Amino acid sequence: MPIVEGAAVRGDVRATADVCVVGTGAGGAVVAAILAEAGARVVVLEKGGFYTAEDFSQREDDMLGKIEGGHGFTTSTDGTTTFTYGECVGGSTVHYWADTYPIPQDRLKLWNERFGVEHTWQSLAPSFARVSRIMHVALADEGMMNENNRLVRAGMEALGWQDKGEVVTQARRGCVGSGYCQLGCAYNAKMSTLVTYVPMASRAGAVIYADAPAEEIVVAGGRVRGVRGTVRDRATRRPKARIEVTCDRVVVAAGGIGTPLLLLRSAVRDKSGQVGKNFVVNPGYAVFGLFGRTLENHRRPPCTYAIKGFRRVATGAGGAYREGGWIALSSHQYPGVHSVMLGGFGAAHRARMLKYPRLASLYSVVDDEEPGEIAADDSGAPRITYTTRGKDVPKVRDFFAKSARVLLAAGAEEVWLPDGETVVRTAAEADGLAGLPIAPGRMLCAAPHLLGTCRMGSRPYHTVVDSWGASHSVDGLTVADGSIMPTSISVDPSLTIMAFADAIGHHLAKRG
Amino acid sequence: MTAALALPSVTLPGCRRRYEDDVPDGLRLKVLAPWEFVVLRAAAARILDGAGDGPDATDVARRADIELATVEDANVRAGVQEVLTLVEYGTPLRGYLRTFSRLAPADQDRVLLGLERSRFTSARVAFATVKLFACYYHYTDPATWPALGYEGPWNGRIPLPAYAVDYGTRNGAAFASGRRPFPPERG
Repeated sequence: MPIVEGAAVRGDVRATADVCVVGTGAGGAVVAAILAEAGARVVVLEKGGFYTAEDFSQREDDMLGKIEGGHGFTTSTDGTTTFTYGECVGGSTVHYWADTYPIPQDRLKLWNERFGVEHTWQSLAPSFARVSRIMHVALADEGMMNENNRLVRAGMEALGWQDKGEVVTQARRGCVGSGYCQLGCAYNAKMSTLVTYVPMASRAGAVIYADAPAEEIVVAGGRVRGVRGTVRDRATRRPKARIEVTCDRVVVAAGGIGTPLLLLRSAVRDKSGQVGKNFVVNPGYAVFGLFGRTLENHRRPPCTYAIKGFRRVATGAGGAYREGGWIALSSHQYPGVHSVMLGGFGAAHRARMLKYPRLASLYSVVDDEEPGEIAADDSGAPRITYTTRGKDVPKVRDFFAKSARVLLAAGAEEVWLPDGETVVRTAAEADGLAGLPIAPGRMLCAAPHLLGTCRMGSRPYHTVVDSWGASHSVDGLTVADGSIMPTSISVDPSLTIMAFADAIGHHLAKRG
Repeated sequence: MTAALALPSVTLPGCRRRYEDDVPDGLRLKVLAPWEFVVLRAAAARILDGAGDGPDATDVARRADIELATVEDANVRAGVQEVLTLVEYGTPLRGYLRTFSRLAPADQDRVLLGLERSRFTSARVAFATVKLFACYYHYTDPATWPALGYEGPWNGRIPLPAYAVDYGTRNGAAFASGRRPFPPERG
């Protein structure tokens, strides 16, 4: 029975395996499938539940508690940043938008030079090719593009910025255009690991336990001996049984928060002292453009066109920040999240909500350089320090200013910032946003790309794992998820995480 | 700062307010204390002022209580308590002697606006948190959608079967999700 849910478990579970993989998202599912297909005995532990197309109700309030980590309530300790991550079989790939990018070559080069990461664009090419094939990655066609995306493209063209925008590749097959990508695809058309690598792993014989959070990596004599965890009742999330997997290899892929938390809770030796540190998230802020007519925005894929030409920071005299350090995604939201993102309250907020069908929006992926940190408190729960600050603040302002320019150029009557107060009606006003105060907590900041907390590199006292995800400190321990990325990737990281997981999986399979 | 504002324990016994009396009859709260429920409901009433059809302030406070009961991280629960403490007992910082839930609606609006635009992060976060509960659990309700021009889910309205995915077995039985095969690849 390769996929076992908490409800089916009647008593404590003891299993022996070659490998235990923790997590079924972009990292874990890929490694599990590769190792299972190579003949290894693989047991997978997934904290979240197993939901399939039939369960995806397309209701925000229903799906939040099923597929979002921490029920959607995970924030930084100061409350300024909300972390969005998957907690279900398929992990964050179940809720991601499926706009798909490989790691920019300049970022990989930075990792080569600064961290001694051994992978190059050429060496990773076969991995990117494999995952792109399995995930059906292809350029979005015109029929996929909704009005929001077309307006952003028109705005870019009107400004003469067409070379700074691009149509985005998508991981989809047979998309029906419902627009509910973020709530789990009810048609199995969006390519998540839930519909690709998880069934591959399952059919190859991997045993996947859902509702089974790993609690401790067992280490003895300097090497891994297994994993201990619990099996939970899905409704109450209370433990109902113990699970213990005995194995000589553990691959942790519980995500940018879950992975360091598991390592810290397990008191796994770490020469680098970097577990949980260097936490970057690509802070996401929204800008809204009000148009004079009803738009068709919440149907079809959220982002098929993106502003990518300002991804890298440009500096002026003396190295002072001039512009850039972000990309902007055409975006849409359903009414619940939308109501939280729009600033203000009471009658003014209501008046804005009534204009919901006339709104287009852009959403930032800020290439953050001011990291936070994850620690475990006495109960083992995460204490996450993160806020938008320092070098990242002018990037947010620049995103607001240029996004406002684009939406106005596309015909927006006015542009709203998410502080509930700032309204922009002219290009000059948009340019004036360069001096806008950014007060954390005033505007919703959603953090979707959780990276860096077990960074990879060549130096054991500087990085947690090597270029193949192997721990510098404990034999038999591998990390294969976003946490090994040494810095922000500056674009959606899903495909890159999968490509690294593919490389790591094949590396482990060759070693036997 | 919020700990210093936790005043319920220093309220004179004779003047102690019974928040329990303000909780609807028959409502059994799961995790929120009666005072927390009353404060959240009061804030939600102002945040949703004029919001029209859909869950009212009592409904969204009840929903928040239900949802918070499923969150395993005790820090989330503690954070909500801090936020509601700041909203209810931070009113002296805005020049009011009464607690938030006992202020007149216009004064409550001034307090909320002050929190939203405060120079203190904790105050801004307090506003954002109560707004999140109020707005999210209001606008995710189908009764609110017609006014927004949002047609709602396709599920149940537009019959489109899912593509088939073969998971091998689930809990011991052969299992596939979806009913139709994937279309052939393009190109």
